[in-house]
Formats: sequence, C-alpha cells, structure tokens
Amino acid sequence: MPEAFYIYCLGEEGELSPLFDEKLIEAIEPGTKLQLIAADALAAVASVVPLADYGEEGFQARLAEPAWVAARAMRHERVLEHFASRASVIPLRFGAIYLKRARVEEMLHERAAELRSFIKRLRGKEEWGVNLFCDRAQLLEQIASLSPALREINERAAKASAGQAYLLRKKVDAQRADEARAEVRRVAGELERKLSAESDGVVRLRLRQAETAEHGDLAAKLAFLVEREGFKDFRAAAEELAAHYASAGFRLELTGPWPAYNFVAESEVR
Amino acid sequence: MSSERSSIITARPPGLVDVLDRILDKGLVIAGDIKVSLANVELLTLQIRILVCSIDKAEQIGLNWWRYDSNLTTRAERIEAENVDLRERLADLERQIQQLSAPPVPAASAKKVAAPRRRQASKKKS
Repeated sequence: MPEAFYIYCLGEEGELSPLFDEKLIEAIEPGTKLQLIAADALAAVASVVPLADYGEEGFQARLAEPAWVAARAMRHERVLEHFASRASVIPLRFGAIYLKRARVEEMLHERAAELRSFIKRLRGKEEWGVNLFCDRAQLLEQIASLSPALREINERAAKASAGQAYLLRKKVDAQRADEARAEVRRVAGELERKLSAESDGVVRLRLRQAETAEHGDLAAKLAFLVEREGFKDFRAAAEELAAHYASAGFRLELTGPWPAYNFVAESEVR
Repeated sequence: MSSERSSIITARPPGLVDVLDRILDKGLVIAGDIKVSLANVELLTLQIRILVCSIDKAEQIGLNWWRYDSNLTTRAERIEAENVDLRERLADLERQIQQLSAPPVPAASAKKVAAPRRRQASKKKS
C-alpha cells in the first residue's frame, strides 16, 4: 500500500533521538510507529500513514468526517504533548504530510536557520491558555449598584409618571449595557497586560460565536508563552486577578501546559 | 488560604474543543507535499463538538481517553448527552414493542452495533 509521512513536530536531533529509546506512545494511525527523520542536526517526529487517507483527494474527503478528524487530532496532540514535555519542539499544525523521507530531510535542511531560532525561543517554555468568562447578569447588577449616574436616573424614574418612568428605565438599560461592554473590555485589557508581564509573549485568540460555559459567556481568550520556571508567578498573578474580579461576575480559566502552537509564526514557504 | 484562592481559577485539563482550536488552526505550517485546505476549521470544530457532546458516542468511536477529563462537557452538554441517551432508549423500547407486535424485521439492530471504522470505510468508497 502506498504510504506517506505524517509530521508532528520538529526539534534538535540530539535532544529527540534519546527519547526514541524510551517507551513511545501511539502514532496517528493505529499499528504504526513513531520515527525520527533527521538532517542538519535537526529532526522531525514522523510516522507512516496510508496515502489513500492522506493523499490529496483522500485527505480532503477525510477532513469532512468529524469522527475521523477528532480521533486523529487527539492523537496528534498526545504525540506533541509527549515530546513537548521532554524536549524543546516546534509544534506543527494538523496535516503536514510528505510523500518521501527525503522531502522531509530537504525541508529540515532548507529551513534550518529559522527552525533553530524557533527552538531557541521556545526552550523551557510552555503555552498556557487563559479564558475570561463573564456572568453578564452579575456584571449588570454590579454596575447598576455602583454607577452614580445610573442610580440617579433610577431615583428620578421612581418619582416620575408611568410614561416618563418607562423611558428613563429604557435609558438605564441601554447605559448599563454600554458600561458592561466597556467593563469587559477593560478587564480583558488588564488581564492581558498583567499576565504579559509574567510571560514571554501573548496571543489573542479568536472567539468563536456563542461560546458559553458554566461560568458565563466567554469574553476573552488568550494564549501566553510562559517559562516553566516562572509558572508559579504567572499563576499567582492570574489568581490575584481572578479574586479581584470575582464579585463583578468574572471568572478565569487556565488550560495547559500546551505545546507552543500559538508561538510559531506562520511563515509558510510556498 | 492558598487552596481557597486556587479555587477561584478553574484549571482544567484541555478538552477536545481547546485541542481542535489549536491543532487545526495553529502551529507551524509547513507546506508539505499534500495541499490541505483547513479553511472550514470553524465548521469542522462545531461538527466535532456536536459529535462528542455525548460521551457514549465518543467512546464508541474510540475517543475514550477523555473520559478522564470530567470537565470536557459543560453542564449544558451533559444535559444534551442525557437527552441523546434517553432518546436512544426510547427508540430501543419502541423497536422492542414493534418486534413484539409484528413479525421480526431482519437484523436491523445488528447493523447498529457494527464498528464505526468499518462504516466509515464503506462510506468512503461510495
């Protein structure tokens, strides 16, 4: 059966090759083994995949099958977590496929300088995801009780005629919503600023539509590159922010450590 | 005190959606020999999210390792999973009632248990 090479991550040969003496984990396709393809003292963690599923047409068709993708995405991630926790590696996006071993070696050779600088930048660091959630009802309530302007309008509404009161309350609602939006932006900004100070880089992630969890609506999603050694301080800073804003309906969620997916620039060679 | 403070943050192990957000969309892009269009990542993520909202379903297709991730499903998703489960049970009961009241239909339930992998393979050929 014709085969291709699926690539997971890149690193230094000297650092990666001893890891292949230890017990390895499952590759993306069941029954296949992880292997190392090396050139110029750099190396790619790879495994053989059937061309029927990973060739031009086959792969595009497979990408339309959520179950097929989900299982492989998780395996890709597990391979990366295995190596990222043991070495400085450049994580690749899902679906890097080469037809020949020699093509992988060529790529390592051609991009050697760039790859080395990534490896250097990522050494000893991990990616941490920070999600900011906002319980809108709680925030609105807090704003209503704290804002003097809103209190004043509410008091006027209490004394006004029915029609007047209705209009005033409408005004209160609109203003409250405005203030809530501004407050969410401000808190997200402060979060980014304060946690950036404890990290080596930050990336704002795209919010997908209507991401709602138990702790309210997702208001911001950030990724930080954090030194392993410095994680304690990073976490402490996050906890301080979380404690400070909890009563206003904000909640922080921390995910990680991740391979540094968000910190390898997309300098695609075409 | 410190444990009390920690509880303000939910540090959760990454769930499937976090994983997909990253690996389908992020990471170093190397051109490779196969042109891949991941243009529809958003749709794909959504589809997969729907797919695994039922943990049973996830286990069925071999994604059982994230049963360890108790936070993978939000409360809403758990309710959804329960609904799916209940609907399946209801369908089962209806089938049973039908089988009791009508002559047996040839092996409709046996097909349902067939391994999903095989199902995919045959789907691909078509």
